[in-house]
Amino acid sequence: MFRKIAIIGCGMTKFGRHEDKTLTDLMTESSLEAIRDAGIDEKDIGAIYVGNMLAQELNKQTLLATVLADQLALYNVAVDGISNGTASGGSAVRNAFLAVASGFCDIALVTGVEKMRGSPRDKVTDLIATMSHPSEYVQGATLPSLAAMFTRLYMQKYGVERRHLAMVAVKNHSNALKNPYAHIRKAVTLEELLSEDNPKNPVVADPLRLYDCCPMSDGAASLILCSLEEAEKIVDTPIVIAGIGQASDNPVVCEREDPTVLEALRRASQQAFKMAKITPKDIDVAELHDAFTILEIAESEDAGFFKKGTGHKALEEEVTSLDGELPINPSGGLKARGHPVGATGVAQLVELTWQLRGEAEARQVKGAEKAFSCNLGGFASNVLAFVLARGD
Amino acid sequence: MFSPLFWLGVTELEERMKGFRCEGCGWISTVKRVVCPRCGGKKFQEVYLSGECRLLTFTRLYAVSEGVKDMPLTLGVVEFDNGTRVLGQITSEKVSVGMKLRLAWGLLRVVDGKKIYGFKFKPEN
Repeated sequence: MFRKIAIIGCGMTKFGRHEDKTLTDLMTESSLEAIRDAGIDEKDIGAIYVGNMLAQELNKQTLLATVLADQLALYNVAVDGISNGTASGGSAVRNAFLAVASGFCDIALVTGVEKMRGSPRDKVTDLIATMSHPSEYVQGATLPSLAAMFTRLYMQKYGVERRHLAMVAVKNHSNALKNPYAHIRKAVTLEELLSEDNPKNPVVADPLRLYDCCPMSDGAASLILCSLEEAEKIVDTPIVIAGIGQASDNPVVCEREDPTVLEALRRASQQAFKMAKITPKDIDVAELHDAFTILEIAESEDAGFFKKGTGHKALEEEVTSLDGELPINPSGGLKARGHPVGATGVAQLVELTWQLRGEAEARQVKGAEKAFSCNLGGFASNVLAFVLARGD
Repeated sequence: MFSPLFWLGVTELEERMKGFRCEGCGWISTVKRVVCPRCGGKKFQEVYLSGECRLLTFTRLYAVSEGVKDMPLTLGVVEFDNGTRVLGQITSEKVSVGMKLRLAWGLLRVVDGKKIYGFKFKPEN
C-alpha cells in the first residue's frame, strides 16, 4: 500500500541541562546534525514535523516547526507541530513516515525537542499530570503516583521486589556511562539504591524512590526519513522503518480490566510486528519507555518479549543486559539518557539507528539487525511502537 | 426537601457518589461516556455507589503538584462491591491494602486559584 521508508540520517544534542541554549538552538542543532549525517542538502527536505509537549507553558513558544523551517530557510514546504503528550516524538515520526510513504514528499525531517530544566519542579509535575484523566487529575494524581500504585499491584501479583526495580536503574545507569549523549552519567550500585536511608535516594511515591524515576531533561533529537528506493542511492546503510503501531487505552488507569497490563502497548506492538512480518523473538535490541523502573519490566512483557509476570526474572538473569540475549535500553533509557519528553520517541530511534548501523561504539549490541522501540503517552494510554531493520 | 435524594432516604449528599451503569454489560464507571469501553453499549443509567469500598493499592506521594497542600498526599485505588474502581485521596495515617474505606467529602486541591471539592476516602470508623 505504501512505499517502504528508511532512516538515512540522525542526530541529537546531548541530553541534560542546557541553560545557555534556547529551544530553537536545540532543535536546530539536532536537525543540522541529521542533515549532515544523511549527506543531503536542507533544500532536499519536503516536510518538517516537530514533536513537543510543553513549550507553550514552559517556554512561551508555539509553532516550533515554523521556527525550525525559518532556521533552514525552507518556506515552501509543509511544516507541522505534533503534540501527543510524552508520545509527541513518536507521533511526529509516524506523521513524517506517512508523509513520505504516501508519496506526498520524498524526504522529511522530524525533530523532537523539549526544554524542561529551569522551570519549577511542581509546575512541570503538574503539567505532566494533565495527561492523566481529569477525574484523577483533580485528586492530585501525578505520573509518579500512578506508577507507584501500578508498582504495588505488580509486586503483589508477580512477586516483583524493590531489588528488581533497582536492577533496572543499575543496568541503565551503567549503559549510559557508555553514551556520551546521556543526561546522567553516573554508576549506581544495588546496595546504594536498596539502602532505606540513603539521602540521595528519597521516597518520591512509595514504593518508588528518586532513582526509580527518570530525570527532567533538555534536549532534541532528529531523523531524516526517505523512501527506501531513494535511500539506497544516498546512503550505504539505510535503516528501514519496517513496522509502526499505535493504539490507546482507557486513560482512567484504575478502570482497566487488569490494571497491570499495558493493553495499548500490546496492541501497538502487535500492529508493528505484523506490519514488519516478524515476531518479538527476531528482535536483537530494544529501547523501551522506562519513565519509571517498573515500566521497563512491564513493557518487556507486554511488547511480547517475555511472558507476563516474568520480565523481572529475565532482568535478574541478565537477559536484558548489554551483553545479554536481548539488550534493553543500551542508551541508558529514559532513566539515564534522560527524558526531554517531546524528544524521547525520536531519540529512541536515533539510538536504534546507530545500533543497527554498528555505530553505537562502547554500547554496541553486536550484530544487531532488528530493533524495537515503544514511546508511551500518559500512563500508557496512547502508545507508539516501531520495528527497525537493516536495509541490506 | 423533596429532592430525589430525599425519596431515596438519603439525607447527606456527601455520602453518595454517582456512577454510570452500562445497560449492555452492567459495568459501572464514575466517568460519563457515550460508548462503553467493555461492551460497546451506548445506553447508560445513572446510579449511586454504595458508601463502602476496599483499598486495592496506594501510594504516599512526596512530590506533589502545584495546588496540593498535603505532604505527603496519600492516594489510593478503591473497589466498590459492584466492582467499580476509583482513584482518590485517602484521609488516614495508616494505610494497608485490603482495608475498608468509606466516602467522605472535602477539599481536593486548588487549580488556577479555584478550590476543587470532591470525594475522598476515610477509614470505616
